Amino acid sequence: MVPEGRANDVLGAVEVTGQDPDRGASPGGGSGGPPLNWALALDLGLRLGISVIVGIGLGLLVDSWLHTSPLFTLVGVVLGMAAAMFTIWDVAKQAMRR
Amino acid sequence: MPIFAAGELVTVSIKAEPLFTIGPFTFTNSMVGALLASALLLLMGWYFTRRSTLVPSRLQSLLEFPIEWMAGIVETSGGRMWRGFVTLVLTFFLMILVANWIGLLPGVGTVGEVHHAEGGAELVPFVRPASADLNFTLGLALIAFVAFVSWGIRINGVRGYLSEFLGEPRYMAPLMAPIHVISELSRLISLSMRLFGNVFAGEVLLATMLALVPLAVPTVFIGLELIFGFVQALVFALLAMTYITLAIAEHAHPDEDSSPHVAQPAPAETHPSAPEAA
Repeated sequence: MVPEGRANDVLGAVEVTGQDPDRGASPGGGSGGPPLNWALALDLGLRLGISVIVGIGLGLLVDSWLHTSPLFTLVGVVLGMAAAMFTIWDVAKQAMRR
Repeated sequence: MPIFAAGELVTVSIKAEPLFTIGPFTFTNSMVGALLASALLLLMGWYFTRRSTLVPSRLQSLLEFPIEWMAGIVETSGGRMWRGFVTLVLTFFLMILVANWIGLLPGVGTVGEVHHAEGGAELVPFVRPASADLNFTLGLALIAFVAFVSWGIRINGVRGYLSEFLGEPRYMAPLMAPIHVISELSRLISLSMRLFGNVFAGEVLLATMLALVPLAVPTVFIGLELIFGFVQALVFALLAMTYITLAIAEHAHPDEDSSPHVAQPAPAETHPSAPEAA
């Protein structure tokens, strides 16, 4: 088991507004670095495709519910593609901020 | 999993096969895999806490290594609040790693009950690697999803989180809200599908190689699966950490962001009267 003193140290450091003096000066405290960027790069490709698929899926669901096919499916395609582009923009923004 | 029937194609069931039912609850072979992984981790944890010494033995060093290594990555990349989620990231890493590697043990996927179906004899293994079941990976992804959304809310409050969700300027909210919803859902799905897809594809590859060339050749692929299992566990844990870190960074106040947090260097101590060795 974790010794009580050590557990308190760990829990004590988890303060939403507090700062760990050991950390760097990046936004949100994130110092970034290769692991973070590698993970984001690995994730980006899959998320682009999935965003469009999720958009189409949600559109199909709404269409089958409201009997408006293919109106919301088309809206879903557009929103899915917009979400894919937003994902790229968001990831690039975060990477530049770091 | 594999069908062992002469002259037939090798097939691997995409969903976990039920073993038995207790009332309305169906117990599948992937659940056995998940329970085995949990039991192994619990055993390791028990050993680690009972027998650990300040000067570690070889086994203790072996058990400590992945934990220290992963915790080091989270400390370097996880931002100033890394201590708050390091345990979650470590749990993801160790659980997925053990669950993936259990699939490579002898008897897993190959020892089971033979069911005679129309197309031939089908083997239902007693143990299936937990990560080769979408329910397991989706469950882990849901935990990660709840974690990074709750960190976002914790940092910025519900109102702040929702205002981030609706975007600026506010009249764009009808467009930005669904885009944000799709973007958040894509994280959840990409996390679960990547892990499931890679581990399941590995199972199919191993079953195919075993059916084609039963001797020596599958060893190479088992070695590759050992690496892939590790990489997938690492990727899942790193992505969970990344999402939490971004949720914290995204919602942090700009004023806080720009404030200098760099620790001032302590004045160098001088030792004017340091005795010199005679």
